[in-house]
Amino acid sequence: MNNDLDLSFEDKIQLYLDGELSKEAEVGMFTAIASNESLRETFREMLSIREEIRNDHRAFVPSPLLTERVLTTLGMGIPAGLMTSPTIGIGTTPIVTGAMSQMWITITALLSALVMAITSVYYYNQTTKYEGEFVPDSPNTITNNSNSNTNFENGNFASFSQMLSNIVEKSNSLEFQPSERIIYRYIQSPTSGKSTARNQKIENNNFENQTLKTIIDQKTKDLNDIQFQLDRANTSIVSEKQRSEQLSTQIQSLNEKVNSIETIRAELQKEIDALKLLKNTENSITKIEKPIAETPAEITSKDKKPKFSLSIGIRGLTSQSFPNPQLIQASETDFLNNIAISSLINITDNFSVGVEGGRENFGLQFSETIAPNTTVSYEKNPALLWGGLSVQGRTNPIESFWGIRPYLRTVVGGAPIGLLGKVIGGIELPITPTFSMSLATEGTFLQYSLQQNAFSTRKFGITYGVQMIIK
Amino acid sequence: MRNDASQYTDQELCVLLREQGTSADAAFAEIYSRYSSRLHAYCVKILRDYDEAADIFQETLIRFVQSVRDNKEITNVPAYLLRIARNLCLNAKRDKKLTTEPLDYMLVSEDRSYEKKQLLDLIDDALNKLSDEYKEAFVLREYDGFSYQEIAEITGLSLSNVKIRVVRAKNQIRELLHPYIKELL
Repeated sequence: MNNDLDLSFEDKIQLYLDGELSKEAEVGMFTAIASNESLRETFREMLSIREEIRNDHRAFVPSPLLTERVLTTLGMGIPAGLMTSPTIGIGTTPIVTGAMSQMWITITALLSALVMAITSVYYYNQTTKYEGEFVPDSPNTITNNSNSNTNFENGNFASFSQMLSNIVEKSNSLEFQPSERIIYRYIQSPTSGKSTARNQKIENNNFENQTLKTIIDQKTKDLNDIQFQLDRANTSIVSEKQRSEQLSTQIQSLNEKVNSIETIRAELQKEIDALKLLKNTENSITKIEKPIAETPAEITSKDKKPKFSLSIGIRGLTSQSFPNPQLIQASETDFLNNIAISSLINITDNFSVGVEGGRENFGLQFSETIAPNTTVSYEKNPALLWGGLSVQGRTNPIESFWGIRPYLRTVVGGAPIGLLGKVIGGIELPITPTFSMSLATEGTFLQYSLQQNAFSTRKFGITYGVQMIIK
Repeated sequence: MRNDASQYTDQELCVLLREQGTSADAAFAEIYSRYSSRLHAYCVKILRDYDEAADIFQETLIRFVQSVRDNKEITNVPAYLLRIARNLCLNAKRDKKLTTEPLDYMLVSEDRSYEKKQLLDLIDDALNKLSDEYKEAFVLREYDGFSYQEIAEITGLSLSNVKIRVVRAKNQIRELLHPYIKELL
């Protein structure tokens, strides 16, 4: 069957209907159909078979019970619409109905049951007018239930109940499935009218009883089925309502998430923009060979580097002289005789050099025996002018202590009578950026000679003053 | 997830089915809606027993979900479903042969109009007269709507073999129904 052209026309029709016939073979097939009534009939028959198969709803539609069973077994929720009818058949319009449609089906079923009940009562009333026999509705069942052919004619009235019993026994012996049913319908007997009046009456009574019982049983079963369907429809409605609420909540939650994501996205976009800007800035910065400074202190010092400033200070002294040899204590507290003026150039913020000078009392003492029994003693406390070069170092401001700046200064110079050195250590307290106060301890050493003899005087005291910076 | 699960392809639904929760439920519901009718029809027609068909139907879907959640790659969902169902049906029929054959009257149709019931029953009867191979080919084509290529994939037969089986099955059905359909048409 590799070449469609070699097939019979019947086969070609089958392939054509399945969409599997080649285009070349189609032409020959239609030509043959046009001239052959038998082929046309085949065509129609296959179409009708196919159409009929599409109507086999029982095969195509899983029962709601089965659907529920599957979903329960899989531990899944029952979505709305699934408990009714899935997409039916092939190439047909999907028939998907919801719980409301299920409700209408149920209502329709209830109304049908009511109509059936009324009809049955009417039918029951009419049956007294007929004679006949009950046979199973299915032809298959007829062939397998020979006992059901029992005839009621000739007064064999008691055999009807016997017949039902036999059928039930037969059914049980055949192990009928729970879903199977045998439907009986009443067929009028062509030999009716031969019974006697008495037999007819008894037969009618039996018939009435059995029919009534059958109808009641059937209706009870129908009502139970309807009640079951109604309960199921109610359950579906509640389920659908809950599902709807869940979906609303989910939608709301999703909307919130979407909004949240949008916000995050906007923030991220801002960060990206900022990063881009930063990158551009960095690119610009990299063009500068060397940064001016990397720390605030450096910035301060770097800023001031090209600009030397002049620091002018004036300070007073309170000190005590210790001449050597020490014969007497020499001290002087006269302010004007204990004053110094400095002028320092600030090379950096921490280092300065300059000159300093002042006037200061020094305790001087001389004593020597120049002849037997002749001793020359010299004792004086003159105020001497002095001057010298000054070098000062100081720390950065200590911010936790009001910005004070410890400093150390040395002075090397001289006085009219000899060499002089000073060491001063203390703190500066900035009052303004250009004005500060100082408080320090000071030690002075004066080396002098007299009559070719060397002498020295040391002084220790406290110095206090102010400084002004001139930029 | 999009508002309507029907907007998803089978593959997308399988991905959703691997998750837990309402998305998986909705995905399964959509797959069920799409293919349960074909699957059910196959089981019913092959087994001729609604209760047994229901069991196989259920087992097929369970195995399908397990396969999806085991991350098995499924390119053609309906064909995959039918392959599972086919294997289960073959097993069931083999087991059944060891016990007893079903009787025709064990399948009783629901309420239908007389003519429809007659023709459908006739089709059923004719179908049951076919050999198992032809019957399966007919069911897969006419009830499940698979192409010949898909049937070949499901059954593992060559395409030409499938073509032969389907065509012969349909011809046999038509011949069996011909006297009756002629009256009905």
